[in-house]
Amino acid sequence: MLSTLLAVVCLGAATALQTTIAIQMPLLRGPVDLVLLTMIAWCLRPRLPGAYIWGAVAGLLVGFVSEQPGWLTLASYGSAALLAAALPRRVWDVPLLNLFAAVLVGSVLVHAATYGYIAILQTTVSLQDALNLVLLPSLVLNFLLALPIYGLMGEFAKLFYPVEVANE
Amino acid sequence: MRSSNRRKWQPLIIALGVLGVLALAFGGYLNPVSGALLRPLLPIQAWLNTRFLAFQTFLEAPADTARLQQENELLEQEVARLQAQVIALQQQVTEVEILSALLDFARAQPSNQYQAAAVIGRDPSPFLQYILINRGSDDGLRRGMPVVSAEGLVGRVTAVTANAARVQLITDPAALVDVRILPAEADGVMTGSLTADLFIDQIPVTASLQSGDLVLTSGLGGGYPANILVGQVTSVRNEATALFQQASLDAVTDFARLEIVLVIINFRPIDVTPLLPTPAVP
Repeated sequence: MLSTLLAVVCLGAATALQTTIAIQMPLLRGPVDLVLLTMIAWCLRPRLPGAYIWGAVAGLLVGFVSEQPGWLTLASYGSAALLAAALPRRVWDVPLLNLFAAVLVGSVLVHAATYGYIAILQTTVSLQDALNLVLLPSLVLNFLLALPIYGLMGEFAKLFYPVEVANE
Repeated sequence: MRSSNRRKWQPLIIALGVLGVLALAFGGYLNPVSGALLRPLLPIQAWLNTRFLAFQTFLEAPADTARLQQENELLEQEVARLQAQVIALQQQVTEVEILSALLDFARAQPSNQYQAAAVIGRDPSPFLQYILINRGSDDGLRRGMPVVSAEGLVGRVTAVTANAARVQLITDPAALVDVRILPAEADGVMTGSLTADLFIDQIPVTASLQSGDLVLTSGLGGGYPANILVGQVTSVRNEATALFQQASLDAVTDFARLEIVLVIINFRPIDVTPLLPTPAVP
């Protein structure tokens, strides 16, 4: 219950920042994805509860403010959350490596889902433009902000789950 | 007797002596003498004066510092208050200017009814160019209604909640607007792009276009009312073998700085899809 509440508060704030500030400060056409980074920063800590809830809340919030259908954002952000949660348990035990791997795969997943959706709607956007103008610049910004947000979310999680964070 | 005579002449002699010295002094003849006498005294006087002032400052400083700190704090508070006031007033001036421009636009098109709305956000996906506005179905907004700014066309409403709505900008890659280019009176279809550049396609090859031509909505297709300014042609591409000409244009609306927009609430879009011919099934 607490985890759900924290997800709504944190991701709600991230969505508000994303739709007002982050989207207006892109590198070329690619902005940083604050919702994705906040969600990943939480899900990467294996002892914190509710990774799938954070994925669902992120997907629903983005789906609510975006033109994309809710099921699509739910699927893309949910997959990114599950992947971020699985990395430290099943693949590596190196937080930084997990963080950058999750950001890379999560960003690609989210952008690929949107690109696929607009391609199905027969909107002409060249793949090269999508890669050069959106995905790669967005990845750069996501990598740049991944560490500060990871640290910030660690401090935030320590307030509510001090034992779990200390035992990591 | 002799002594009394001397006493009698003494004041006179002294007075004459003083007068003589004064006369010499006024005449400037004593300057070298007075300079030689005063020169050693001046540094001593300066030293004493400096020490006295330092001592006086030392005695008065605590009271002065406390008073100055208090004054400084009050002045800083005043400066902060005035700065906040200046920022608030600048914001109000900007809003008034925008609203004034929107009012001028609304007066120029008296047949339309408008609902003003503030832009409160943008679509988080960089592939989609949509804005969120703070008016919804409670304010009479419906899906498909055109949205304009003081400069020209902005887009149309695509989703509505009770008190908010989502607007597809004309720069969105999926946006299609039927336009007319003046003075050539040529029709075309305008589309957006990922880079927010605007292009017009399907312009008849017979039309003579030039850079700087005006682009307005044509009203064809039923999606937008006619004669809303969209932009100006910047370049034309006319290939010899092509069926249509293409043009790129600069929008008159600055989409990066949209703050307040007008929704035309008495326009009902017409869905012409059922009227379009479908390919015959063999």
